[in-house]
Amino acid sequence: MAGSKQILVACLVAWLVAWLGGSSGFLRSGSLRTCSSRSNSLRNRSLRTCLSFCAGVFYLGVLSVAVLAPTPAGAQTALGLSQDKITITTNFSGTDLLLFGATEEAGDHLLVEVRGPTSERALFLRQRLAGFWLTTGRRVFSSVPGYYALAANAPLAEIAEPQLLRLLQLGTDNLVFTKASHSDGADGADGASGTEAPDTNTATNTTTNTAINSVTNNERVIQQTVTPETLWRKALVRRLRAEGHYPPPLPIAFSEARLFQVRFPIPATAREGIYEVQVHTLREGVVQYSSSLHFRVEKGGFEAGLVHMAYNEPFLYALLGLLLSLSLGLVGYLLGGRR
Amino acid sequence: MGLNGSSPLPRKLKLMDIYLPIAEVAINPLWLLALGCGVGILSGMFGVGGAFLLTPMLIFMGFPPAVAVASQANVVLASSVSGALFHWRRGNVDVRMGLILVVGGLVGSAFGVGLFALLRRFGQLETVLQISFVVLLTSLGVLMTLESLRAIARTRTATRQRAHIHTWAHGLPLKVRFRKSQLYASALLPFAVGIVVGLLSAFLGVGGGFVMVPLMIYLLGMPMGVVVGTSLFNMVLVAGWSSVLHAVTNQSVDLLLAGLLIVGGVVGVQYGGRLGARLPTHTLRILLGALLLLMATQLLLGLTLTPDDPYTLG
Repeated sequence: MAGSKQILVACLVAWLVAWLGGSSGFLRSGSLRTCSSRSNSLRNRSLRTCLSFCAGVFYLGVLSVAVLAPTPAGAQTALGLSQDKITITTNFSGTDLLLFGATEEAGDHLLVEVRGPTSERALFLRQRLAGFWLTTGRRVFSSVPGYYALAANAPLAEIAEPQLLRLLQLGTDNLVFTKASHSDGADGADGASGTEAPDTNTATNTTTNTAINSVTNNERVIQQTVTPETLWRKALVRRLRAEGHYPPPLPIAFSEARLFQVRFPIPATAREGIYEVQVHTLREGVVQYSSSLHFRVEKGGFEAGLVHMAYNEPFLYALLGLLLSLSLGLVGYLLGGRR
Repeated sequence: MGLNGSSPLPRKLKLMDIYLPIAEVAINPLWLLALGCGVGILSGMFGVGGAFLLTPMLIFMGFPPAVAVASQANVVLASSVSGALFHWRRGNVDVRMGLILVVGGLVGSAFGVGLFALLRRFGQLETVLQISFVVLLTSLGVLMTLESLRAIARTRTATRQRAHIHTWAHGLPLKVRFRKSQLYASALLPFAVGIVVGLLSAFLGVGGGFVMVPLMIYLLGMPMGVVVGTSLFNMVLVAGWSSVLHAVTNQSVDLLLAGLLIVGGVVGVQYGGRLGARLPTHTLRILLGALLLLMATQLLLGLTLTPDDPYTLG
């Protein structure tokens, strides 16, 4: 705990900064990337001055509280990302994204999560039928984050109650993937038969159960109440993890008592879109404050054009393909012509 | 197949990987060039298209089957263009016959692409493709081996085959005169052959020459001289058409992948042709047959062995 004298000085300095920043637009230049939505949304200069005045009043209040009781006020964690845009080009083979920041106090618990853009994902189940492994079931999940990583500076059980983690959807076990119940009907009128198999058939469940056991017995303990639903969602997480989209729990490295950094591996096959980084600071199992940052993953250069064309101008793309093949075929003919 | 997304390359080569945007696979381009080149050599040596080798190879390498098959249409197009030009110049193409085949081919490949999209939606595509390739590669491997054994025997006994065979099929209506093929036969027959070949080529990403050539010889009774040229002529148009259909309906054509395979193939074919002139091709053909059987076995194992994880992402 910092002494009340130090807090007093800090508050005075902060007030000054807020005053100056508010009137000169210093905050807007964003030397700190902390996503404070208030200062972002403000365009109006007079409003900003007004705000800084309010900040001053707030700090005065805090100051008086600080003098009376030495409980520090929750300022947001200072955060930064090594890149705010990741461009996937032809020679992109994955990268590490670095998040760095400073906590307010040395003993704070930190939970850092990164979520990729959500999309609909289908999962297929294969079973042995007459000696062959054939696709027998399909489940479509409607909102699956394309990327999910969680970093913590202590075991999750120490940081917060399971209920809180579930509420905040922290950790792959607590992610909520809504099953797209209508998606079968939506993307194909005759699709209903595809999803019914694993639900209705109890024999199915037992076989998948044993298969799961053989896969994950060293990694995770199957809960006593194994419903097909949990099997499906665990399988989804497992497959996404195997493809590098859901890296296993990551460490938070502290270089000093308060300065930390987290390294998030972004796979070569990362999905395009906006990724959200959320940093929760917890003390004694209670979230003190949360800040968020964003970064973007996009296909760049030649790549981006090609993919964009393939999906948005498929006919043009097809013509390009014809041109490519015909011209290369012609080259082959000319080369072979001398034979 | 539990290989999705991972390339079977040693770690140190990872630095040179390129990312194929549609396939969403990172792989060293040299592997694709080498694969294209290798198949090109075989194709130059034996006069086969080689697509029936390339597609399962790509699936082994971890490419999504949908991308492997769809991109293959462009590879088939490129290789058949150079072959077709060569035969065109020598006058080995029966255009009338070819066009009727093409009409059937366009219908067949539209069905093929439709079936492909349907199976893909229900997650059955991979399995159906694997089973189809097991059947295809096994029958091709067996036929090729038997054929070469017979050919070796034939060169020893030196008996000749009849050039022109009359079948029941020549009695169907809608007769057309095919001057180049010296035939007066029903147009329905080449149309049906075209449908079958188009379906195969669009669905499996193969050229279909291995089916078309025997059918042309034994069913249509075409003379040997024009068979290859005409089938290549048909393939150019049908493969071009299926590549457009795949690009438009499935969006799974990876032009970067196709381009690398084609470039490798163009180089390979040149050497293959020269090699084929020197080496005992009948003996080599037996080896090719064995290779096909090996690949079929590998695919069959993939279907029957317990997978690492019974769940797969779509």
